Amino acid sequence: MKSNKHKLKRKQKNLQMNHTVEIVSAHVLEQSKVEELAQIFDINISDIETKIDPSILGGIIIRKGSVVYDGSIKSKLENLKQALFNKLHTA
Amino acid sequence: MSTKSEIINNIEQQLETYQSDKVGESEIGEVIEVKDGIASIVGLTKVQSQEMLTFPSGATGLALNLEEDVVGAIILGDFSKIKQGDIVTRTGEIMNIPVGDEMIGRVINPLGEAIDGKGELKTTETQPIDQIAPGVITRTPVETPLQTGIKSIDALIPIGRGQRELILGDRQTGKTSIAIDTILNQKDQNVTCVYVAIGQKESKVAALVSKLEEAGAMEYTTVVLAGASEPSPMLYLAPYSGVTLAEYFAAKGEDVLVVYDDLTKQAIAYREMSLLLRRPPGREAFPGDVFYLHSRLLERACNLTDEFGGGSITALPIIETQAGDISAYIPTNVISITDGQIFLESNLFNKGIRPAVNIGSSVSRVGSAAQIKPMKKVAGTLKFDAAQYKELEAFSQFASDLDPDTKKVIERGRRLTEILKQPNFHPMKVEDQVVSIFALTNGYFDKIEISEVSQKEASLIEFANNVKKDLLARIVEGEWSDELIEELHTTCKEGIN
Repeated sequence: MKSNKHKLKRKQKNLQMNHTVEIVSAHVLEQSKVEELAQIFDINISDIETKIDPSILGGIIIRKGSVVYDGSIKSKLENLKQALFNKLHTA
Repeated sequence: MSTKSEIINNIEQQLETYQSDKVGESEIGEVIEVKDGIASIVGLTKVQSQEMLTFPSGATGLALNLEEDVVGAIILGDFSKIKQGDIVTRTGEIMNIPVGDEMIGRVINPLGEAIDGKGELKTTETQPIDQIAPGVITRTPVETPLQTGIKSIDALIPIGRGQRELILGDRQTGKTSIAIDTILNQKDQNVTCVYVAIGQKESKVAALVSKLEEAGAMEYTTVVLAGASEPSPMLYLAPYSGVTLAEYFAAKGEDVLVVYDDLTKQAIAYREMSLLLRRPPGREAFPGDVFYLHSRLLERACNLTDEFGGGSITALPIIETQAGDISAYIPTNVISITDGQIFLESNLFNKGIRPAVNIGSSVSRVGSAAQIKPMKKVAGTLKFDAAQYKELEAFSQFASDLDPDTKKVIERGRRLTEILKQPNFHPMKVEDQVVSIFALTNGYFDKIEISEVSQKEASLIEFANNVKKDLLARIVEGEWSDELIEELHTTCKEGIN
């Protein structure tokens, strides 16, 4: 039987995930850029958490709640590799 | 094999014409709990019911419980590599499997992956697993026979293409044997077969597959295997994968036979999954929708009208009973869904009557509409004779004290029982069956000793196949005339002595 503590924990985790916004970039972003992003994606500046991850190589990844917008260079390269592989495999 | 410079040129070309995708949008969730093959996930706010999810370990999951703040997903595959904090992605696709003609002759798992070691399957199409059954307008009555090759079934409980006939019995009563003999008998009948093995020992299935290969049956059969050591979600999905593949063939106008061996294990796996998903248990701890589990599966077997391809799917579900109790929960559920049942009894099996069919309790609701005319004519009185014999069977111990008429019924009944016995893996063609039963009902075996009846039957069949090929061909065509009857009499007289 799920205890109330367990239920509360789930609710907390839920809020954590669905009501936060995270912006991951390879280098530190200027505040003006962050404000611009906030406008485009319709988010409150105060909700944003920024994170630096050099492994994405460039671009940004924005997680708004549970939706992820992936504009990182790393994924673009991965997609390129997959597309090339598919084309050459079927050729 | 291209040269190095050719390959480099190719890659350069592709790079020039490559169009980078727009920013990728996906929806994610985070695993907060994983146990016993079920993952609880937060996030995934827009996930659909029964949508496929991907885990970082490569495993696929299915979102089944959509609750307010958490999603309960079953993991299809190895759940040992999934941990708390893993990011799960939506695929946007409702559970589907690859389908195609390449599946014929292969052994696949419920996800459509090849597991017989004969190379990867290169299919192009996929079909959703959980489709709504064809509606009333798309169906047409069942009229074509599905010959099982088993005398007691083809004569007394005939099955038609598009019917659902349940095979019911305790363990070790010959349920799988009936299904396999039916598959073996479809060799020249233009019927594609799908055998779904649910929760069985993989060694047993391997032996079955090699038997099918030996008999050349793998040329038209696909085996869908969810072995005993697979997680319960795989056992739950296996029958649906089987019927999805069958629907692909039927849509092309083919006649398909699907065997579900057995649905009891699927119900138990579904119970296990539902209890782990915290769904409320009902009778015998089965979830409330265990009837729907089987009804939506079996309703997909039907005979389609020409407008919709003219194909058909015949289903032979197998249910294992405990101590012959056919009024238990799952057996009664499936009996009410199917168009008849073949009831196998342990005591008949132990007495040497194999196939151990209890003729009195077995029924086919399609009946003689699924028999060729000759068979309909010769088998007409068979059931009545069998019933009469059964009533008087108890008196057969006093054979010497009975009046001649009763004795006659008993002796005919004993020969009837002998004729209906059949060895495993030896399906009999319908024309041979007609000759044999004709000989029986017209008294040609009455003077033969019980112990010699099988032998005499075999030599009669051999004789007919060597000398009276023409007659047999006419029977297959469905002819039934006085002249043909005369010729049958002659054949019997010459064939038995």
